[in-house]
Amino acid sequence: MSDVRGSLRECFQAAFPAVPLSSLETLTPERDSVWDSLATLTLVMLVEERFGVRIPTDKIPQLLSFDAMAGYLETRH
Amino acid sequence: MAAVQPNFQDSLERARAAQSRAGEAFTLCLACGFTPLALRVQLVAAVAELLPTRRIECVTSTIEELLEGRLPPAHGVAVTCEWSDLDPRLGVRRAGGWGGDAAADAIATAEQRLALLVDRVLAAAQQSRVALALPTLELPPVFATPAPAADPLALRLQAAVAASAARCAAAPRVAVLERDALELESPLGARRDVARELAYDTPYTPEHSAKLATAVARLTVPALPLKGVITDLDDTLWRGLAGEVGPDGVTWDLDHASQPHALYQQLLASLAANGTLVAVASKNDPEVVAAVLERRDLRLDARTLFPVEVGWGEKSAMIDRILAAWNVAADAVAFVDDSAFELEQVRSRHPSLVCLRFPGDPRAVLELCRELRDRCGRAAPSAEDRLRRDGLAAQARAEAERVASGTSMEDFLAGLRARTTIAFDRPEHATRALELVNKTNQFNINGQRIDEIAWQRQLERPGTVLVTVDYEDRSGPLGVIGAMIAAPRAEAVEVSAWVLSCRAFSRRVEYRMLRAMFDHFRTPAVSVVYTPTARNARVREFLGAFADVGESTTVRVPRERFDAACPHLYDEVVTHE
Repeated sequence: MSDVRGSLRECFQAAFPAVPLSSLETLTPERDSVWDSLATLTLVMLVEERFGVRIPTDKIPQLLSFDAMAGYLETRH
Repeated sequence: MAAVQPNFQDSLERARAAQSRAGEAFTLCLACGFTPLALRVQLVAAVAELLPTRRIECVTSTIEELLEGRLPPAHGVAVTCEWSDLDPRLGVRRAGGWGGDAAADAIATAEQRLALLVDRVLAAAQQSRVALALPTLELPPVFATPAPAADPLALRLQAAVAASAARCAAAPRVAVLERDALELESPLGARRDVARELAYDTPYTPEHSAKLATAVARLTVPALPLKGVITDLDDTLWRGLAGEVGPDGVTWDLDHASQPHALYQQLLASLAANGTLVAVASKNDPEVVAAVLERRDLRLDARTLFPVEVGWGEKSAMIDRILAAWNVAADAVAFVDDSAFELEQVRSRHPSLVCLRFPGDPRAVLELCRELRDRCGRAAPSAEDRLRRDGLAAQARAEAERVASGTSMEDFLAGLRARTTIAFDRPEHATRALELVNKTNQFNINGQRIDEIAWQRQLERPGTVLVTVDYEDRSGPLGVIGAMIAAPRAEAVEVSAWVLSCRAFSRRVEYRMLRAMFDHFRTPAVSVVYTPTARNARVREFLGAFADVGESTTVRVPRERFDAACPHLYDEVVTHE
């Protein structure tokens, strides 16, 4: 489980290089302007590549937080 | 195309690093009709790999902006135009009708927009190098005819695309992505991600995006072609061991199942015709080889082979002599041999030489031919490219005759009947001069490589003069073999670029050029902006005869020191001012 969160943290770091590490897990698109649609796509591509999964496109809107993404990935690992 | 792993995170990191590099920027404009997230990242990463010392600045534009002539200025423009850019009905994000009249109308629109696209691409190429990728995705079922039958309208559309591609590809500074080359890297059926295209307007799979980006980057920043190919003979240029089966026993034809050698021969002939040097290095009996090379069924003209090194010594020593005769560095040359042992021996002595094994498998031979074409080929060879081989051979023959006859260098030069034409500010020589700057290593005062746009800007600076030198002697013409950028300053003429082809060495052309600076500008001194490189020791040696040469400095050559040290120049000089 912790491996998933650790790897996911690295994906968030790559997608949001300007965001402090301590804030990565609380980012949300509603509150943080840095998380726009391009950032979403960047994050999804990084996650798919890192975890070797294919996230269904219609599932993406439900995964727009660190915890939601981690929960989704943990069910697949 | 080189295989690249489509690792998006790696591309993202490399792209970010390239965008924050110090130094002069290479500006890149990516024009496409969709959200270019991954493509942009991968393109910047790929360009950064080709330009490791430049900062990469990338802006994105739309196809509409291109068609309206509103692209921002950039060194390189990458255009990726998909079907939906030609008419939205040819894509999947707009439901404007398929089949029948709608399809016919879409084709008509597409043809109009293609014509406009060609005009805009050609206009953009006046200022920038343009890479053009025409539709890479498969067409949706717009047309009525069921597959696998071809639909007449679809064929008309494809013909319009091909005609547009042909017009663009024939233009200077435009490179069009070849469909087959992309297909080999990125299969058509694995390119489109419909779900992401519908949701986010990103039509490409990450894999296709990465392959496309790599290819487009190579079109935007093309590599310099290799200057020469050195080939083995037995079981490479032909099948069989000539020394064992005799000159008539070696083969390269269908009847003897040795046709791949004929293909290789004609590839070398094609490269040689476009200016690539081709030499032979073979452990063999010289008389037997000479007899084979006289065979009329050879698929290349044996006279294009120079030098022909045949004997029983080490191949690496043969290659030393060939490189010396050509006067080119090992990293500008490929060596082809069927023997892994020979390749290894040569590679150990010349690590930068491109060593390629001639394979036994016919399919792999075709791959080898393709690789050689890609590494050595020139889309638009200059007159000088074609003259190079003949010039080198004539020069080597003349030198051999001189040594054999015991003629002194002074008598030799006096009898050359050399004619040097020096031209000041000839715009028609600008392209050739840039080519020389970008491929000359030994006599290049600073080793700098420069793109077309920066070159143009440099030439447009007030007071800047482009000086070019055309040379010929009794051995024949060498074409434009030297170039300088000079600018008169208060107390000296500053030379900021100066290159001389290795083919002109030992002809004292460098002295003639410097003499022309003093005579034309009536200046008391010439300041050469010199930077030592690993390869330009010849410049240092030359300048050292007239001036004190430090490390990375401007070398001031006073007229009186030049006059005192300049040897006699025997050439007839014609000046175009």
